Amino acid sequence: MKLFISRFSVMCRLGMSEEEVIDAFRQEKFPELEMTEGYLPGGVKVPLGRVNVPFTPSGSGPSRNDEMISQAVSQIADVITEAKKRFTAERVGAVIGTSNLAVSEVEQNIVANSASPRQLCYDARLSRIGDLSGIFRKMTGCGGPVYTVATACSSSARAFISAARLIEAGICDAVVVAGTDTLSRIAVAGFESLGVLSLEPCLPFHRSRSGMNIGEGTAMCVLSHEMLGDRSTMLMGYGASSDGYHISSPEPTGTYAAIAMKDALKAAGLKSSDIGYVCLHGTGTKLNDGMEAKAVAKVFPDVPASSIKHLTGHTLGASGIINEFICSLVARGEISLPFHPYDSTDVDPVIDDFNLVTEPDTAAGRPYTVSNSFAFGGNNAVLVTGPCRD
Amino acid sequence: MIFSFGMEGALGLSPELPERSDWEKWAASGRPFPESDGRISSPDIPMMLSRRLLPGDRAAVEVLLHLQKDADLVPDFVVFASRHGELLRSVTMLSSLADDGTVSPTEFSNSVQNTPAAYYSMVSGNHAESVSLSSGDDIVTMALTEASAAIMSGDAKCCGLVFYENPVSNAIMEIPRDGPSYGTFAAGFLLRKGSSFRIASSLTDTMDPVQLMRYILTGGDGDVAA
Repeated sequence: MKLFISRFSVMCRLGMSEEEVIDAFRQEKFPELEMTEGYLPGGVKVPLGRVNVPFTPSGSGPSRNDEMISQAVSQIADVITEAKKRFTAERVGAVIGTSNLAVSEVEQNIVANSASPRQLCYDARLSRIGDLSGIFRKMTGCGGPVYTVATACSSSARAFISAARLIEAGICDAVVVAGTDTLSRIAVAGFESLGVLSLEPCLPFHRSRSGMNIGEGTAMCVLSHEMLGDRSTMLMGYGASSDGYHISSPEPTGTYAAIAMKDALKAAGLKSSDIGYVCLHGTGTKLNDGMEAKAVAKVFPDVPASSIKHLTGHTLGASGIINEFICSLVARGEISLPFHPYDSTDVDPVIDDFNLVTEPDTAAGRPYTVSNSFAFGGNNAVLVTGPCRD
Repeated sequence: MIFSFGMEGALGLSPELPERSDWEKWAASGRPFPESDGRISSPDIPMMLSRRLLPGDRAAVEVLLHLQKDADLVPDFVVFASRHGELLRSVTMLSSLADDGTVSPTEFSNSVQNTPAAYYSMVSGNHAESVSLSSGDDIVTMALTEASAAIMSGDAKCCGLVFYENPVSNAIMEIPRDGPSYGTFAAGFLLRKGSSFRIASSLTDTMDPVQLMRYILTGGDGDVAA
């Protein structure tokens, strides 16, 4: 399987466009996560990977989530238009990955508009995940299938799998793939309640790691069997599995994550030794990083690997496509490998040994990449990307 | 588009229609669907897990477990489709946030749309890939498209497709309705490559999951109705 991935639109802590993210990597200047009040009780500040899009009072205009999607659509409007022109709008679909459909504005206005916490007053359709597909259809003009995939933190990686199948099955010629999630108190307070939120900048795979930081983001691209514009890469394969273990903890041996990685490699027709970089899920929690280290040590023991969660925060439903975006930049040779800025002796000695990138490095000579996404409910999705070959 | 599947099983579950024969009688009767948010019996789900699920999630998991047992088939791809998903949990968590700024860890863990998929995998031991899908009025067409794409692309040999809904309102908030509501229900299908069930998307575009089930139970299979 080889499908073309167009250039990306992207908004995350690293930058508000593909160009800004590339610049950040080339200059090695990464905006720090912002210590923010108002997401946990008692005035506690948490580091958040905020994006520079203002909050809109509920009901006074498009939601922040809609605004981010609208901006992302405009960044690749020419590619979407070209797809519709080349194949007709009816042959262009869209699959959107999201996990919480940002209830930010809703949260901000609950107290103001509700008589009491026991009697909420807001239109809950604002936070109904399925309604995103209708909004997206209007924004893009896609006339083919348009739907939302919501498998928590693997949502937008899974959106690639659904999109690829729509094309492979001959239902669509091109599919817009998107991922989006914005900051919400539910997510921050929810992860805090599970004891996996770090109040300091996160340190994935570090011996002293204490959990994750939450971020937000939106990213988008067009998948097609034909190349649509410049700066393309190729989706070579994918793999997916279910842990069948626990609703919020990963299966600790990494067995099913490793199966998804092996299946993705097999589908791509590649060997582990062909891979130059693995973009890890790497949230910074004890359990995820321990599990992922075991799985990567089984399948990619020598391949340079790193997470970007310390740079973006965990963007939840958008993290899969943002990982895939980073992999595409690596496959195109646009950036060096993301690395963890701590001494290699500080890598957690308890986790299984693999080639974690802790200093500037490149994927020299091996341009194929792998991106990992794992989620609540044990939903695992792995994508393999390579350089463009017409 | 014409959807074409080998239909290996179809089963519904709701508080008022707990047995297969109840659904068959209802489908043949032409009566409106008996909406209810009452209890769902889930003998195949361990009680410790079942009690954490919303009633529609419980029905969704139970239906798929039943279908695969009846057909002696284990799906290698699973699709759970719902318009509202865990919306009720969002309302509960928002209430808690407004109250004291905290969220229950159990409520949060189970608030993801793929909660039924996760519990199905835990109970059945089936580690096949699963997807949880949402859309608007066109959810039947979109979910059939996802299932069809997996089968037609050769990635799936047997797909378990389950539509389900949970109650959309609770004591905290009455949620406005913008379409028919059926309360708690699940409607599941086991699909393979084949042509024993064919239906045009122009027809499914106007159907909700309950209407699709009625169509199938009253012998609509084979009727393309383009």
